Amino acid sequence: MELKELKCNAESLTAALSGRMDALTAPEFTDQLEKWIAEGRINFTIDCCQLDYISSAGLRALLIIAKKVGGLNGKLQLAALQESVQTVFEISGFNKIIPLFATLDDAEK
Amino acid sequence: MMPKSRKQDTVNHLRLKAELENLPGFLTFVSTRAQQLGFAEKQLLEIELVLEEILVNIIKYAYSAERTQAGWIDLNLECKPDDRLHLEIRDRGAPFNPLEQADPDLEAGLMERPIGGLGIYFIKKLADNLSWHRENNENCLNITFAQCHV
Repeated sequence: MELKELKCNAESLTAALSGRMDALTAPEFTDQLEKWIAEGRINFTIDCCQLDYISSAGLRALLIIAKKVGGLNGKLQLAALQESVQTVFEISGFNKIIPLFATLDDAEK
Repeated sequence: MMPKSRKQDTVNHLRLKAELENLPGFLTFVSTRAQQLGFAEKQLLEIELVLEEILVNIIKYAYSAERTQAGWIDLNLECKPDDRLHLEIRDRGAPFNPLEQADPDLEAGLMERPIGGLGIYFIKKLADNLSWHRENNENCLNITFAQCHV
């Protein structure tokens, strides 16, 4: 798993997430997001076009962060999910609690 | 109907310690065989997902109460003559039947949504056949995946 900052201004940050988000790698995501939150960012847009795989451990990490920024009046939104990742979101109902966008442009409108 | 060459079942076994670092080893072992069997990319990811959820559950909970050292996980893999993939996963941890666990509330809003509980739901949802029994002080979980030909 790799998480790369694409751009950031004031309270918002856009990052690209790639590879596998599983029980081994999900804690890295949480750690990095916690760091950005500590720096004052509360609105996150994550580009997932290169995210190949996500398990419940990955969803768990997303939920922890979404709740945390939700409590700060911020938001976590994802863009450009691959079909297999989208399926996992639909089975879990996460598509109803985390805003998903077809493209990064749509998410940033 | 059945091609002759497939008639004989192939059985494979992998035994590794119940530790998170062994997760990729189990996943590669199973997905390599599933790929050889002809499972499509989408289904391979579902098989990996089910397997990860089962193994992580064992790694996190099965041996936590009684031992400081991790126990073993035994995985038996069988390619059925009709191209189904059958997995048997055994551990010697505390009795735990994943089929008895309640499903999470999928309608709960973001702030009400509990953290966790999804892994077992994925197992139940994505496996084509799932059964559990206790035998010789072991949890024995049997999972079958059938190939969907689209």
